[in-house]
Amino acid sequence: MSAPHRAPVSDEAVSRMPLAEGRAALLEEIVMSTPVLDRPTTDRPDRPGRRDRAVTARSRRLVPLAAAAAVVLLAGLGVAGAQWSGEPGEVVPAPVAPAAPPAVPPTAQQDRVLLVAPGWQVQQVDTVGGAAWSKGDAKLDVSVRPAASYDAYVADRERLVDPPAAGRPLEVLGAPGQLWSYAEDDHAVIREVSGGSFVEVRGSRVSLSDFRGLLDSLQWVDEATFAGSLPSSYLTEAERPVEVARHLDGIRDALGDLPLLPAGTPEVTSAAADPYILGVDVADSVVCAWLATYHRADGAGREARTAAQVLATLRDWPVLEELVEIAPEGEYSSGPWALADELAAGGTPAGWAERLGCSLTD
Amino acid sequence: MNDREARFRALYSDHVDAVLGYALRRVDRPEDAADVVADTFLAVWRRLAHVPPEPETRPWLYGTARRVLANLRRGDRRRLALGGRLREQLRTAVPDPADGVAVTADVTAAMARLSGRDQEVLQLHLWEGLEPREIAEVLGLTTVVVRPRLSRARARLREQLDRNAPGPPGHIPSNHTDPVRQEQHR
Repeated sequence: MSAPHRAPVSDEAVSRMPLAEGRAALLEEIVMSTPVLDRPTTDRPDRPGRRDRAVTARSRRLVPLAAAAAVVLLAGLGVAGAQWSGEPGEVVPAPVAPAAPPAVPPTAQQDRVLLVAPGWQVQQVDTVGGAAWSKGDAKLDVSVRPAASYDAYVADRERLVDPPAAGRPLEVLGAPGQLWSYAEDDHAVIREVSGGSFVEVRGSRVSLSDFRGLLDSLQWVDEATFAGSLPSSYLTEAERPVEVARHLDGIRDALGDLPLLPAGTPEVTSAAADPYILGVDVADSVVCAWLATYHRADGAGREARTAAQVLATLRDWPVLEELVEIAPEGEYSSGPWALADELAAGGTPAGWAERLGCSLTD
Repeated sequence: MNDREARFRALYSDHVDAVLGYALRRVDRPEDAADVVADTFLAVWRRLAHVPPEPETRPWLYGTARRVLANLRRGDRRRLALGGRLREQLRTAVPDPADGVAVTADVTAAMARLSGRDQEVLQLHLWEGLEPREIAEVLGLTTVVVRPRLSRARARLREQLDRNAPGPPGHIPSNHTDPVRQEQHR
């Protein structure tokens, strides 16, 4: 089913349609035959339009659903990840067909790979070029990697056959590539280096002929076209700094007179298209900056005291509340909140940089 | 009838046509709208405590219907036995042309030339009459994101309308309001 291209019927017209019997029958069916599943323990309104998914906070790539269970953050165990399990219904509206022919070589403007194939939905978006799509169990994964690693990747794939050998030649995205198969339904293509990078396409749970068909359905597009193909809940490049600024404003309000960041901290940014990951990026940047400050000061002196004061406000940061709203099963916020609770109970931030997975080498 | 059931019946009565309209405007086959309505209100019945009070109820219902519709499009919905009569009636129902349409056909045609993201935010604004705050609730975004997105989408829609107005004779789709019409243009 796709949105029809016709003048849409108004609510007024709907209300006058002769459907009284059907409306009434459905109401009775629902009331009479359906077990009630409300759990009275929560009276919080559910927010629709949210997704479940898993992410690792510092990975700029979404983790596939299948891997979600493996990246649950366990508060205090030093895994700065987050889990949520998705909105299965997020559907990508059919993008407007780009005017450019498919599979032209990448240009400065057209540096995104887009799959246009019926039923395939985007599951992951990389910050550079690549993305992953799925249809049922089948998955197509497009990675754009630096040219420097091309030889290593090709050498690795050549070892898929014994003795190691070049892959079968074929054209992908307008340039020569090599095809290897891991199994009957698992295939990989590496496209030759172009413009300082190369593309690898991996198709899982797809036959070789279907994989070849999907390769033909890939095309280079510009960022705007790619963004137009994403689900509505994804953030465009222009929207991301706005969201980052909004989250930072919320933290600033919670801090009162305390500084938002330690002096000399780089500007907080996020390249994440997903609102959840972007929120994690922002919260993580501020939390880790203060934990690093505390660590460098060895827990003593004015800076360390300020760090502890800032981190004691974590329970009041709106971004952490929002992350839970976006993904009720998400676990990211529980880590910073556990830190705040420990501080409130008289503890210190010592050791929390490691427990929350913050890098101390920056 | 207990309070819970009374609340559900009132909610159903107040919003069923809005949810049905939301669905009818987005499905190819009118009878599929019955499945969207059935699944949406089944979710309401099961999770009545989660339904926010007015005026947030309708955006919440649209958000739920949006996910139900997405599941239907994915084809992974387990067909329910509910809504059979409504489905039958929708198959043959024809709205009164005097009631008009949510937006005119030339606007619909212009919207169809926009990206999927632009279309969805415009549809919620023009078809459902939602404000940015409510659209944000449906899409799971913040108003800060939705407001400029809607503004840009409206600008692009205006461009499309300017580009095609006045249209050549016979090229503007008619204002046909028959929901049983099954043709579609991609």
